[in-house]
Amino acid sequence: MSREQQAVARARKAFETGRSKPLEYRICQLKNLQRLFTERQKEIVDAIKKDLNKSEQGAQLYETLGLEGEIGLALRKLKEWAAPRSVEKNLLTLSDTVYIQPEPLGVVLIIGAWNYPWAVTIQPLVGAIAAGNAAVVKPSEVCVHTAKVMEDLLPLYIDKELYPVVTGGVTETQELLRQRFDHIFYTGNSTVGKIIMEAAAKNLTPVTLELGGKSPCYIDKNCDISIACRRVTWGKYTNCGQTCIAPDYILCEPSIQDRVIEEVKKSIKEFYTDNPKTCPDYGRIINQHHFKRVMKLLSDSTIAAGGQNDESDCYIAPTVLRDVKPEANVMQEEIFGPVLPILTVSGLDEAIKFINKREKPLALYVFSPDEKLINKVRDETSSGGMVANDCLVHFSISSLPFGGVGNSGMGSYHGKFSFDQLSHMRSCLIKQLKMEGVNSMRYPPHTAKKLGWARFFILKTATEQKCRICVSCVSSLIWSSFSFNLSSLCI
Amino acid sequence: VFCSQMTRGILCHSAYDGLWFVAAPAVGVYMERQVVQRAKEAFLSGRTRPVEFRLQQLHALQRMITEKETEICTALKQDINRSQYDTPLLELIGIENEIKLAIDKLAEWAAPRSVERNLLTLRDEVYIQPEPLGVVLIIGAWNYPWAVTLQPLVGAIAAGNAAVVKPSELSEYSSLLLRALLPRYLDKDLYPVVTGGVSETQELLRLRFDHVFYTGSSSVGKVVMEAAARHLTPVTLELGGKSPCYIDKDCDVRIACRRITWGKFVNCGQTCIAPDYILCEPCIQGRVVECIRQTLLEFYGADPKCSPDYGRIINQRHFNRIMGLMEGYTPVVGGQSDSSQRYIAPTVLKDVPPQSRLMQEEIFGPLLPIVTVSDMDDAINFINEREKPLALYIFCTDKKAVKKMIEETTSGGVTVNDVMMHYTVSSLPFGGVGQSGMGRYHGKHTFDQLSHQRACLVRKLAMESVNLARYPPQDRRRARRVRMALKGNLKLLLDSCKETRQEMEE
Repeated sequence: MSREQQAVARARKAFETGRSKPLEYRICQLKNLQRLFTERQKEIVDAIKKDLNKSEQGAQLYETLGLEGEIGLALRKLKEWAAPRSVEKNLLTLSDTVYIQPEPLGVVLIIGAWNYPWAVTIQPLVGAIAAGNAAVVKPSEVCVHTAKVMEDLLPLYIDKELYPVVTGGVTETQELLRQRFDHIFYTGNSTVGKIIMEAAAKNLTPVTLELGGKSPCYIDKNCDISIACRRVTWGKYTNCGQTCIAPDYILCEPSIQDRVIEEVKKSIKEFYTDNPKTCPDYGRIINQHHFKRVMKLLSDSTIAAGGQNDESDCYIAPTVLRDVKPEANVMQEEIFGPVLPILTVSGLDEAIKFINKREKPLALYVFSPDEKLINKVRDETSSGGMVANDCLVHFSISSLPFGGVGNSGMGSYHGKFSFDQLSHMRSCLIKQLKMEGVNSMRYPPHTAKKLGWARFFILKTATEQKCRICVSCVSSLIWSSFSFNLSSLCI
Repeated sequence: VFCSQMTRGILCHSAYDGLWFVAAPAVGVYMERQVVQRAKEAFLSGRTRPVEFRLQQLHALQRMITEKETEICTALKQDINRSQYDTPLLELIGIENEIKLAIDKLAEWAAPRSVERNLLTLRDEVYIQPEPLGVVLIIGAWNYPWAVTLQPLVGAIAAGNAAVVKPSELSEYSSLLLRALLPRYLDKDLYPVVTGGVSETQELLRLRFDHVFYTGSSSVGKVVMEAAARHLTPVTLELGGKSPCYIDKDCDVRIACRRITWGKFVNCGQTCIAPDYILCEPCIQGRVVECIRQTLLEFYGADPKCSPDYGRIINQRHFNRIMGLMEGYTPVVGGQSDSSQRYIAPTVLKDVPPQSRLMQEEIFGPLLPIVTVSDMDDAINFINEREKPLALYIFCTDKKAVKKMIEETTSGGVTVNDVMMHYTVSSLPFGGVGQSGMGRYHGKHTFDQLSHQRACLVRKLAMESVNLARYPPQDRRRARRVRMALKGNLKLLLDSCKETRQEMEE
């Protein structure tokens, strides 16, 4: 048995003992996970710095703070989320108990990404634990140091049979995908997303795919360009552009292009000084392969700001490109780097057409003071999420489902959505072995009269209030029409 | 409908309106491509966006069901010998109900859904906007061809999508009738019907959709999901399995068996949520058999073959398959068959061993095996050793025991003290888990399943000072402020904004 097979088998065995079912157990595990973040900040921050050159505050701001919030929310709300959820009854089920019972799925596979390794690997884990599942955690091998820290620390805090960490690269991931899971949660790119879903299909395993794409950013000429550009600059160059919901490219009218470039340059200087290379808050490209990839994207466009780079350090300066053509290299794939292309459009309609010609993005940004304009963009486009007048922040609102659509993904999570995504919502109808007379209308031998009754009962829309009044009339009607003596049923 | 087979298609004459038409597969491989392309263009025209349009289409669908009930019943009688009362009872009333609900609630379902805000978004608009996905592919099944094709269609229309409807070729008459009727009532570019068999379905699955909704078997479900994966198309798979039915020895066995008998033999056992097999203790097995026997007499008379309410097996292949499952066993009730009519009598088998063929696949026919277990715990173990079923039935009056059984097992849905009825409650999500499927529908759940729930946040280009704490240069003081803000301390947040603003000005 391979190492991966063993980990999965052990997780399944541990799940089948039933110990993750009681809420107390799940709460205990979540509290332990909480402790990991309070006690081990230093190791976590050191590893992220080595992997992505993220500053300590950056690591906290963008990864661990959000995670701590999610764990806190799950702890506060778990009892409510896991409880039976009552639903509206119909006339036929008035005296029955009808509810939806959330249940664990079983063993979940979580495949993390390297750009916000803690956020995208552990947030799904929080949902998996809260929902009562076992979970095999496979951190991305690209963030080498963080993967090691996860492998070392997680088993010290949470149940190492139920939640094993399996590290490794492509081969190990393929071996994992050959095993049978009850749900697969993948964060990464669309190409691998297809492979994951194909593998999942063999076992009829449902999937959540948090993918990517080119998130457009439209800047209306009538907005406060200075503030808009500041927010866009922050959203773009955080983590050196390696954010799945970073504003990928700007669309604006030619008349404001120069102003946009000026304001972005100003904000870059404000955030990262004149020499971002020495600024502790400016990150690096994760590795040489991605460095080369991003540099190639610059080759056929005009640089308006930045462009400096250093391969030995995987450093690319915050860069802006102007007058970019739709056919340019930089517009053919998700940039995932600190390069901000500006494409000019004649107006909002052209921008909307441009966006709709392309795959549905994970996020869409529009900067405008005009509510009508914002609504038009919303109504005439589609994307995973949409933010007007800011970037990225919808990620941190746990009451909003976070996920893509089309090529940018399927499924969603955060807050209660993680819990629901990793649960099975089981429909439950508890009837009594009484009132058998009512059932006569469905039994053969069939007659037109019986059918008439069925039509009446099923098609009458009933609210609880209406029913309380109805029920006394109806039940007396039932009892007078139907006899409990089976042999006299000749309706 | 009178059909005559020709070399490359089926020429059909509709007795209803005298029209001649040719059904697939005459037109060739590119027909599917064209049909889907037309549906996509129709969707992109934006005409499904207004709620009024969707309501109009739903009303038209409602009219179709009401006006053509007789034709639909006739088609089903020819497909599967369905009684003229069972069709409205089991299919049409349910569809009508769904349409009515969608019409009543559409404005509410399609409206933006507000969500809880946090401290940072107090002054913002935060909501979820349901949106159409685009073009949905609906692949129907043959056992309740109208219900499992039109109920998803109701949700697809309500959610503002276009939908390509592919009914099952096994329910041939229904399939051809649907193809004739739907374009007469609904927008024929947005909601085309594509008929045909395996190769037409495969051709459809090569094309790109925004959602695929499939009802059928688990083995084909895998093929559908694999095809969908190539386009990253989300799927809803309503599959099947062996739905267990546990009868507790202390319950009213007589009533339990009436309900089970109804659920098992309706549509000749060809129901995805039929109680597949019974689990009970040996001491009540005899009584169970007797009660079922009596109920069968009451429902279908001494010779079910002559009852207008007893159905037939859909085709020869399934007839042979089901007869094969019984091989080597002597039933205690029924067992008679007539291959020329694809008739199998309502049949009960007792003391069935778990390793028998009967217990290896979903029966989907009028054979009811009884497997004995020593007690409820034994039943629970038996169920858990097998794939997660679409439905679980528990007949028991002890509340605690029922609770235990529900807690210690899993299934798509559960009905206690009856069978199948959870299907009829539109507020309950209907679907499977594990091998029995993924996704769910009925009522609002169909609408949600076939929509994209888009997260929307609308801020203002003001209050920039609140944002200052998140911008670099990051330092310890700023990080502390952000931490406080996220934890919801309003006073400290406002103070910290003032401080940061002063810093900026410096």
